[in-house]
Amino acid sequence: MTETLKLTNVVKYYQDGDARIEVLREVSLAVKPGEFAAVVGPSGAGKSTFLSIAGALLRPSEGQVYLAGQEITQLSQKQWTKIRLEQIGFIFQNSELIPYLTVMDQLRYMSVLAKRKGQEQRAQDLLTHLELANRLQQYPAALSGGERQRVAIARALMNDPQLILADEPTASLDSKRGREVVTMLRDEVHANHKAAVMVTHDERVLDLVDTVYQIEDGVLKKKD
Amino acid sequence: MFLALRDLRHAKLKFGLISLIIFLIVFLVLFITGLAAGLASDNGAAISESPASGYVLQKGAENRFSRSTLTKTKAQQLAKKFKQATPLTIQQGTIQRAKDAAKKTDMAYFVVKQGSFIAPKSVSGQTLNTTGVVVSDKLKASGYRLGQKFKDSQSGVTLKIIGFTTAMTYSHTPVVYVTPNQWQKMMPQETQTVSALAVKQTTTTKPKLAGANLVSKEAIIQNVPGYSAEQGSLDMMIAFLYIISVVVLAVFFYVITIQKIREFGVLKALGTKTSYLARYLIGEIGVVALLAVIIADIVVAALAQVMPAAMPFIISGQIILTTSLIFVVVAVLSAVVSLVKVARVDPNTAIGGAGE
Ligand SMILES: Nc1ncnc2c1ncn2[C@@H]1O[C@H](COP(=O)(O)OP(=O)(O)OP(=O)(O)O)[C@@H](O)[C@H]1O
Ligand SMILES: [Mg+2]
Repeated sequence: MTETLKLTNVVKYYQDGDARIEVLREVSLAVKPGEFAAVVGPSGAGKSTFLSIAGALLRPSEGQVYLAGQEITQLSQKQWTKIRLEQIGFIFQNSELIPYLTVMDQLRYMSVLAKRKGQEQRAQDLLTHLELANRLQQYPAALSGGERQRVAIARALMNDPQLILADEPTASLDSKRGREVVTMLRDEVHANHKAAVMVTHDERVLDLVDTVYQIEDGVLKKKD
Repeated sequence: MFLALRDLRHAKLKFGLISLIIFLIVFLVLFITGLAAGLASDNGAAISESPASGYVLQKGAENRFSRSTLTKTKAQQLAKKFKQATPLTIQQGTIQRAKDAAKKTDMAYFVVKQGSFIAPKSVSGQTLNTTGVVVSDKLKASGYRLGQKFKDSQSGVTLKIIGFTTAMTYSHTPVVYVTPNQWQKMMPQETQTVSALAVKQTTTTKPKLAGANLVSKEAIIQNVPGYSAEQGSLDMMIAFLYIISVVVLAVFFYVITIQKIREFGVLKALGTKTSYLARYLIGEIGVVALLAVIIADIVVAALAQVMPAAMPFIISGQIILTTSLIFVVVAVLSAVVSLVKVARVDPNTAIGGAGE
């Protein structure tokens, strides 16, 4: 079976005058469909950098990135945009919902971008599933932090991507709400057979994921 | 337009205020344009609406009637070079009514032969003949009526109004058309001269004229006392309004764009193309500008109907349309700086929760 996300020997460094700041060193990882992986590590360890490279947002200095068997490392920005739209679902740290779109419209927008018609029912089902059925016409400002993150999960799933990338999705939530959100994310990942990588600080949710990776000083290791 | 329409609906106040500013600027531009056209007409309607295509003036008169004198013999010689030509004398003066002697009115005498092609068309009363004078409609505002008599302040000669023509004006004063006979009674010392020759020319070839110049209608209007300075300042105001609106709108849209940089980063990370964002921005600006312009057009069109006669205001549908079009284009152009900014947003900024 092909891994949904595969990184091989990914190196990322920044040149600072003569000095070379290595942010990621020889990072390799593979995530299979239906697998929910977490990446933990201290601040400045390179978690965000890792997620950007996995998400076709940042080019690695060395190494390769594969998405469902296709190498995407050297594709153009334009091709990356298309890949992000169709194959990757993002969940951002502060949910980053669009302030002037209602909950339904947040999801509709994804279908509009992908030029997919007849997705109304899918959007409603997703939101119902995430217990947001009575929030469809609300604007993000009227939602609680946990509700916002759930809308973000629904938005990430809307275009049925193969890979879900979550950037500290619990950072702005209390531990109870954080657990709820991660549980829902896990259920969606398992039920829809998605591959997911979640970057987090929050050690308390690690029992909910399938695989845990530890990153320290740019070195990624699997934790047993 | 998915984003544009929803953003517009959600931030009604913000876009309403921008619309209001565009409305005020467009309104001001149209208003000044109408006023400029009104003043232009007020300044030279008697020339611009005359059937004469040009005028023969004395050499060195610098296209001004007041500086031109032709002897009648000279005028007759010159007239032979044209298919149609008739002498014309223009002089500014003051008139007053017998019972209201304290109230004088500035006006301009046009001395024209009765029955000549530059004789005024009467709207009411008789056409110009030796029994009296035909005067501009504008004199009605000063209380002059058909059949009334008035006095030329300088010579004391009394003239009777036998007809009214349209709002003919020269250098912002109403025109009184008199026949050469009447003029001789008023100005007995000037029997041998006229100001110029009004001609109607069908060919484009310029005949050779000794000691005189053929001057186009347009050149005459440009040199009516005060005309160029007046129109020049109004044109300048309009040009500045355009520049101001480009700058104001560019700043507005730039500020709005700056506020949305983070959101644009997220939209791009989600897979939105820069071209889509550009259309979103232009769509938003287009709708706001169009709305403002349409309201301004309606207000100006309505205003044109109710402007008092003392404030000449002329605006055509075509001018309204062209101005509106220019404005929508200007509004969209003002977004260019913002578009450059949007193009430069890095989608990677969405990762890492930067800024919060
Ligand atoms: N453009 C850049 N130029 C230079 N150094 C950079 C750049 N981007 C990131 N870094 C460095 O790379 C290192 C890793 O950054 P990254 O944001 O990936 O850390 P992180 O693990 O996400 O930290 P946190 O938990 O605080 O979000 C940091 O030391 C950072 O200073
Ligand atoms: Mg980070």
